[in-house]
Amino acid sequence: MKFLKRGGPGAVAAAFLFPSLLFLTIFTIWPIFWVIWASFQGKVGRTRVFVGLENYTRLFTDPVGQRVIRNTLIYVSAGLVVSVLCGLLLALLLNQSLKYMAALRFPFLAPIALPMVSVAAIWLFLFTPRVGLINEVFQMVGLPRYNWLSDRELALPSLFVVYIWKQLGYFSLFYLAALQALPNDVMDAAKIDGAIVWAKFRHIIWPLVSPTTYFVSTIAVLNALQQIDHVFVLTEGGPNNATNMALYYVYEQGFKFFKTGTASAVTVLLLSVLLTMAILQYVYLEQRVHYE
Amino acid sequence: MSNKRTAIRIVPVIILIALGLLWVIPLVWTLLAAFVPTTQLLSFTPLEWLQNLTFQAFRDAWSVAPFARYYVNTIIWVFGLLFLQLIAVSLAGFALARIQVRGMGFVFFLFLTQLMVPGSVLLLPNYQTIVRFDWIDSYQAMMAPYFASAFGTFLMRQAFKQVPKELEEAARIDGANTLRILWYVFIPVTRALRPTDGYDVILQRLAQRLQALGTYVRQFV
Repeated sequence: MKFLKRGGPGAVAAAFLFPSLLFLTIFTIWPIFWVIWASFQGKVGRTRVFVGLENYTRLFTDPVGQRVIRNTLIYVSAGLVVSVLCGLLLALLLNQSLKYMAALRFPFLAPIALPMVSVAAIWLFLFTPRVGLINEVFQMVGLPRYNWLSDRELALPSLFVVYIWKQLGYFSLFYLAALQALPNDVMDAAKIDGAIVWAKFRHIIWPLVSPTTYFVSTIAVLNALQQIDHVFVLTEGGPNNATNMALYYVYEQGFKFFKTGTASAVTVLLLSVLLTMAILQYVYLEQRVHYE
Repeated sequence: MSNKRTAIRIVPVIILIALGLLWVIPLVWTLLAAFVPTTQLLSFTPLEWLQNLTFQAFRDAWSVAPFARYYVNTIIWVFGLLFLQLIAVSLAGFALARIQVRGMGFVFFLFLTQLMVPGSVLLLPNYQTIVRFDWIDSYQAMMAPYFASAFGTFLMRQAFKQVPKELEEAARIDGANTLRILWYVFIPVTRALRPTDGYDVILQRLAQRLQALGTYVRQFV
């Protein structure tokens, strides 16, 4: 403690920050530089060699790599559209003044609190071809039974359903907050003018919640990229890479096939998207998109 | 006209109720499956379900894996992490809030990177680090990557910024050093925040656990 007294505020600050900064450096800062370096490395036998952009170019020429990029783009853009449109729609429904609103909100808010692993386990049980609830209901109403998770066409949409079931309530919470903050006089004016539902939505609600739309969009992209626990539990990227997506691909290449270079290249691409999103959010916070 | 009005009022309510039912089915079905034998579950006969409620599934599950041990592990892990993290975030939060020295802006930026880069993206390099430390299959492997918390540090920083300057000066005049001031003035004054940080640790880390589990430790025993 003595040196703290002698060293002045600089020494105190350094001592106080040391534990956090040490671990922050080892597990956040250093890894970022490491993946950037490793993304330019390849293996010849057992030694690492510099290969330039090869890891990146191979990603775009390799059929599996292309598949992963395609899946990720489809999944993330579908996630973006559904999160914004359905999130707002759900928020509008939940914004009605009804007697038992708390009970009606529960089904949408409960899945947010569950970890993705548990959510995936629940849905695994529903998707099971033989005894799964979905197929039982399909059979009852005269529809064919499907292999939801092992069908090449259906696997990715099935994972998407799981993701939306879990996250939609989360996105509509932001919209709900925005709707409840809407100025009453504007809504009353619209009512007096006899604005029909669509016009009210298109010309009043949609523009007024645009800051929230911006925010939800960035969060939706981040969420769709990051939440991949259900891929581990439900499909492991299969069948035939039909559900293989960026972050899962990193795991697969790095830990299953020990292709550190490829895994690092994908990580660097992911990091640049995440940083862009973070900057966009910062810009949003600094100068809010607004109509006033 | 009035018919149309009622329709506008009632249709959204019906849609909401239908959607809510659809949304709650997975949860209800899982709950049912835990208590009703699988063979009867698919007969869709609620009356029989109620007559045959059983805890057998829980007994079976409990015997499949050493869950008691898993729970102990989780508790050690979460509360150990919580304890260590509270020390780290309090110290760092205090420095960022109350000590003005050159370079603090850069330190702030370093913390910010952790908020922007989720840990799951850095799984591969962190695995390499843990291998090099020879920490595979250990408690450290599950704790060290989460020890420094930008969220917790910023939470503490905001709280400490609001503590009146006079309290700090009074303590200093009484001869307390910075560590004592932190421990006897700042920590007690901001105790209302502890559950928030605890909630973050428990919920976020539990949710992220799967990926760390598959890689840093092969089996959680």
